[in-house]
Amino acid sequence: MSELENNSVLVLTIDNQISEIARMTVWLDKELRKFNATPEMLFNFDLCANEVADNIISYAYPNGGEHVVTLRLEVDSNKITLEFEDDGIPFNFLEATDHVRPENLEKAKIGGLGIYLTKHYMDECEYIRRDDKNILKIITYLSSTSDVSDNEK
Amino acid sequence: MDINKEQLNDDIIKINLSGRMDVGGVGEIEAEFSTIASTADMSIIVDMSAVPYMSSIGIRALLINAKAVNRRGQKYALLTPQSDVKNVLEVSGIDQLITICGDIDEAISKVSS
Repeated sequence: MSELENNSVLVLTIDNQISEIARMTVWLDKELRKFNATPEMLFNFDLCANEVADNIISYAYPNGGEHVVTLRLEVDSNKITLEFEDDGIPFNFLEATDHVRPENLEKAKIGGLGIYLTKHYMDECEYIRRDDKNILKIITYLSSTSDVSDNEK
Repeated sequence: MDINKEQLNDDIIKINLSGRMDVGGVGEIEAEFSTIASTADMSIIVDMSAVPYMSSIGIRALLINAKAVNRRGQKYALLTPQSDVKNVLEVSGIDQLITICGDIDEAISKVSS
């Protein structure tokens, strides 16, 4: 399931199946709790990881086929970083069309909402395309008063 | 997720949802959720108090549901969402489209015309 990479990065690979999101959710919750993540951080990463993974699995592979999405979780003294790497079609998360707050119920659309929520709930998102892969990092900074500590050390 | 419905009076049905409104959870209830909204010619209160988590797929389900009820000329309200879920609704702007109520009496009053 998860393993240590470079001593400090936890890695999970999931298949491009929607059913894999549940396994990712359990993994992420378990690993973040080891670092004493606050309930707010747990919720925020749970939400944003679900949105990103759903987006990749639903849209990155228009031709289908079996693919692997790699997640890397890194917690250091000042931030939590969750990276998603996929070999799907190029998709710059940061340039995606944002959700527009709807005027009324009939006009309300759902497109782009997951991306909008991720940008809102995370402090920072970074995207690069490298070696034919999409690499997206979602980052939350830890305040100096936070009780999150690196229990691995 | 689990779903059940209660008839509150001649005009109002309360739908009780429980569990995580994520992609898996919504998949378990969306057929019944939309059946209730599209067949009962009544106003609907959705009790959210046992839903600890909601992603955009949950918002999508609520919007589809509320639109169906709205098109019939009936009213729709959400009852006592937990704070994290309420925050997601507010960030999305859905709180401006669907009435969110803090207690059952308020919800009944809002959906009664």
